[in-house]
Amino acid sequence: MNKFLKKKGIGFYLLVLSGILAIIATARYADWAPANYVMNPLILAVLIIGIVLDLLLVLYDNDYLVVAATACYSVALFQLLADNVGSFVDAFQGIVMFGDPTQVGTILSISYIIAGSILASIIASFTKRVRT
Amino acid sequence: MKKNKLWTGLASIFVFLLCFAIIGTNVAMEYASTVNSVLGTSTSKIVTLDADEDIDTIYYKSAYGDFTGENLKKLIADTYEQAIREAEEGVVLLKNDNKALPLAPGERNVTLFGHAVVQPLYRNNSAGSNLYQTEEGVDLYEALTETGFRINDKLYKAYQNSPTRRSTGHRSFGVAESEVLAWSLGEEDISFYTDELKASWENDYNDVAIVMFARQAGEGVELHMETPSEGISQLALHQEEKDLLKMIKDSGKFEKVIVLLNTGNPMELGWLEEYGVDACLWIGCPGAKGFIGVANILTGEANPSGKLTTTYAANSLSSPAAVNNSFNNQQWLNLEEALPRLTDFPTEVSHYVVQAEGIYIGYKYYETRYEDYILGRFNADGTAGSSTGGPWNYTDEVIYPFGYGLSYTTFKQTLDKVEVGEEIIKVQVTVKNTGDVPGKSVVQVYAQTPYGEYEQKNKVEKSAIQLLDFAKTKLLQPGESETINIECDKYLLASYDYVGAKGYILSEGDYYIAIGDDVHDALNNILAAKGARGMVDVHGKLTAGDRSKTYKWAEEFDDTKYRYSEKTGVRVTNRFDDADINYWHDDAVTYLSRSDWQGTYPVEPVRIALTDEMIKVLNADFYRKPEGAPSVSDFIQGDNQGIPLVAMRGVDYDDPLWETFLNQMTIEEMASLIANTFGTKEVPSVGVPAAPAGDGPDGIGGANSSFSEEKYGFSVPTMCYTSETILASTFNKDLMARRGELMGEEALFMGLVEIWAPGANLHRTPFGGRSFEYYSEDANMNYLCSIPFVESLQAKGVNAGPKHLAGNDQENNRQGVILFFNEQAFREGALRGFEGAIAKANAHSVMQGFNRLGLVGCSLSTPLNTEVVRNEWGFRGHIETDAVAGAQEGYKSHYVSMFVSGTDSFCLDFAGLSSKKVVEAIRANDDGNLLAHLRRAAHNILYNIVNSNVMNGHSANTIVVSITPWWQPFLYTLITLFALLTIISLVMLTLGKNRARKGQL
Repeated sequence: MNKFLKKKGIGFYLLVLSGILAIIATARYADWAPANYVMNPLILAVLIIGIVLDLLLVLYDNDYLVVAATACYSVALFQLLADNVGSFVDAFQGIVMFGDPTQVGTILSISYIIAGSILASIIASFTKRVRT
Repeated sequence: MKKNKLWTGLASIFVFLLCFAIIGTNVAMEYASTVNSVLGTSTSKIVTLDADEDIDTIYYKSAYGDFTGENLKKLIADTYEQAIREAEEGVVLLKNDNKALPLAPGERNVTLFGHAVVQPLYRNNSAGSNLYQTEEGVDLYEALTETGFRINDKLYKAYQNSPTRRSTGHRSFGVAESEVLAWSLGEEDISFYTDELKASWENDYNDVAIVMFARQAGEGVELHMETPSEGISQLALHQEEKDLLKMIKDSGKFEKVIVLLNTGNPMELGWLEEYGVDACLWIGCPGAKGFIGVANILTGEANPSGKLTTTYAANSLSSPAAVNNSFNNQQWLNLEEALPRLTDFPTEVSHYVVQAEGIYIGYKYYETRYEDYILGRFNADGTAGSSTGGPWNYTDEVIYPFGYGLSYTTFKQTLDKVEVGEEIIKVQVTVKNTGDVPGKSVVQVYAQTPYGEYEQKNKVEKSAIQLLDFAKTKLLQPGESETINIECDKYLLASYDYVGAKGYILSEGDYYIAIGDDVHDALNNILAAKGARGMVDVHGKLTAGDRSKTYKWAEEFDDTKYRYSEKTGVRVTNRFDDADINYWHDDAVTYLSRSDWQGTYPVEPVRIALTDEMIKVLNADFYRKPEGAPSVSDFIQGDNQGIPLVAMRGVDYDDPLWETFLNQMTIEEMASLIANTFGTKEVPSVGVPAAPAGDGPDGIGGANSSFSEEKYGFSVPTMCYTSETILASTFNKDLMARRGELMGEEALFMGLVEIWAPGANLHRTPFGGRSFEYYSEDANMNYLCSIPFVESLQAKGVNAGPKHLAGNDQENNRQGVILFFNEQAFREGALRGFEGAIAKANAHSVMQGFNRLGLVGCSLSTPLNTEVVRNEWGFRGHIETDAVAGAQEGYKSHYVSMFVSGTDSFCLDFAGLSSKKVVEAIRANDDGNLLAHLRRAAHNILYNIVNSNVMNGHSANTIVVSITPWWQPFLYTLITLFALLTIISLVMLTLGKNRARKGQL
């Protein structure tokens, strides 16, 4: 195991971080969205695909997979925000009409986690993941 | 290798940006109308093919002349003046001991108390103009300063610097549970007033203490019946406020204490005497300029003449409606078992209200019980409903009655004569200013109709007194008189008998007309005419009443006079039997009846379970193509005969030419009109222009709320007038008409097809979140106030859209809340304001409520939309939902069923989901029946557009051309750019990898 880890660069650990954050985001989304009737299977799907890609990257380094994982998380983030525009509008206006303004805090917190995952993934894509 | 990492990183960044651009563009396209509004971009333009200067195509002209920036400035100046005048005439002087007001010229050194002075409530959160948020907004401080007051800045600045903020009236920006934690009345703790601050009024700024308290509710937010902080009514005085008033009183420094009530809801004011308050003004939600009017009243520049349109109860919970309403909404006994069988969201099907109070809302309850108390009948003195726990007593329950309001002068009103005709009751009243300053007086005409055996047997309830009409004098100089003639609508004397006649009746027996200073005074006059004794006035003092201010006559029982609609000839009869909970559960509720106050007063909410039949109705996606329905091919569509929309101007609604016109349109073109996003899109093939709309009611808000800079050279939001309750409190129909006229002018300058105004719902309880933008607790007041506003607005070619049809009188659980009521209460209460706007004033648009009538949503109610509004009231125009907001699930998503129930268009359907669903249903099922409904809706929408000011500039020589707003190609360019950069990065990465591989080889 030590030998395995010794070969890994900073990029590898960033990818692991990205994957862990994505797992947390997925769990939170899967818990929150159905209870609030805002479940979007696309978001769940891309988050899971992104996690699978990160898992593959742990075993097999590949630049294209890093880009693909970033794309998955990006779709998840922006789709989550797009799905809940109404809640932001309501929170801004102080009314309840287009969404549920009381959920804005939760939406933002999930978004921050996904954004962290994306950031880690992007930085990882610039850096060495395996020492040569 | 390093370059490969660079390309990998860049590819990641570009793919991130690409995702942002694609999804962001989708959102922007979905909210295209909002984006266009924000950016000021158009989607269509008029092109003149063959200019003919002889044709005047300005069908609706402005009283200000051409549509120029210079003339717009004149209009804006008039709207400012109107708003100030509304406040001057609508603010109500509740208390004025020893003529504390107006303040003498030497009383200008004042200290402003109460956190609301730095956080004034211009209006509650809701639709309408936000002008008050700009530098045009005038607060109390500015208004007083401009009027020559010297204000204690030390305390004022301390308030400004304090972290205390009122956080009621809007949802918290966080998780649901934090709402309770974040809730704050917004008043300072007494420890805030340090010795240093107290020193600031020790020797100066102590002519007057002006204390301002606010109570803020809002759209989607009721006032609390038990506040999170103290567990008492939010309309009651809270501890911080008590401490503040005590501190002021105990200081002994102030010559006068004046309290301003900055709220659209009636506060509980039993404390005014306790804290030595000299004068009290209800100032409502005064909008952008109303505080100037308040300052003018304080100085005597204006003499208050406003009258309350809502009862000020000692205890807001003593209203019988409060037992079931707001925070007392109930959930089904078998909710848990029923939920899995219900198809809409749980929040939309779980809460219900049984309006056990029947017709007895506001003064109709307090005054009717008072009469029966005085006459010693019907167990009126029972303990049920008593605030004290002892025998019920009017003085314990009411602080200020409907119609109450003081002046700086005095008036004498004489009832000269009454002539009772078949349709009209003519009332002549002479008013004399008997005081020593000029002022205006309100003539309030009330009526009492008989409550006899027939009524008791058939459950026809009667308010002991009801508003019949009103008028306001001109400014009368001291000693000056004016004779006022009022023509009252006799129809308002009829009662809806849902048990016996199943229609409106005129009861047999004695009728009374009475004038009075307020509803209680008028009732005392009637009681005097009946020879009663023991009456008390507003302040609990014995009074004899004045029978000379009454007129009595008799009528025979008549159940035929109003049996058929005078507009359409349709039978007026029961339409809402299934909205009565007793229809579903035998004797589930006993409605409050004056025949037995003690036995029928609702003391606890009605608890019931859902039955299988009720669940079927609640699962409301009911539309199926009827057997024998025509085919789509039975209709002609897309047969363009070159008839532009403008050719339909003035064509009668029922003219067959409309069928020919609709034949020209494709199904998709007609369907594009039903998805409304603060207006409708253009249909160039038949010359239909884009028709933007504005949201009201106390100013033009929504997506179209500012004047176009491109057109007028400057941009400013439309006027934020005083709230509708203040306008109603003026009791001045000329001001109501002027409001409609000015809003019509503003809409003319903006080219709006309609404004969603007036608000015509009831103040059913004192806690209503949007009561501020509805006229009154009294349905007849709503009826009477709607008429002048609607007529004058529509005279400008702007369609009036009263909202929210109907019964939408609470904000808690408003999305889908189930209302049970009896039909008398509904017709004489919730419906009446809309009846005035539509049946009397011919409003051409109407917006539905979110609530349900019984188990059926307003948008799904054929009895409401088709049978009453269209068939009985003769409505011509389009009926729109409240915001469906592109719902894909839940009760707002039953587009097809709503459509066939008489709903024409869907509010804020940004993505056009309603259009897609209706077209899909038509095509998938070859459903000609649904297509006929689509043609109906298109007809109604286009009828409104073509007869509005939107057609200004259109003629046979013009065509409508679509324009693609600049931001759309810009966004597509961004997508292309990021896609290209992503591809280039990936290609470069691949090339680099190949090179590396070759190098290794």
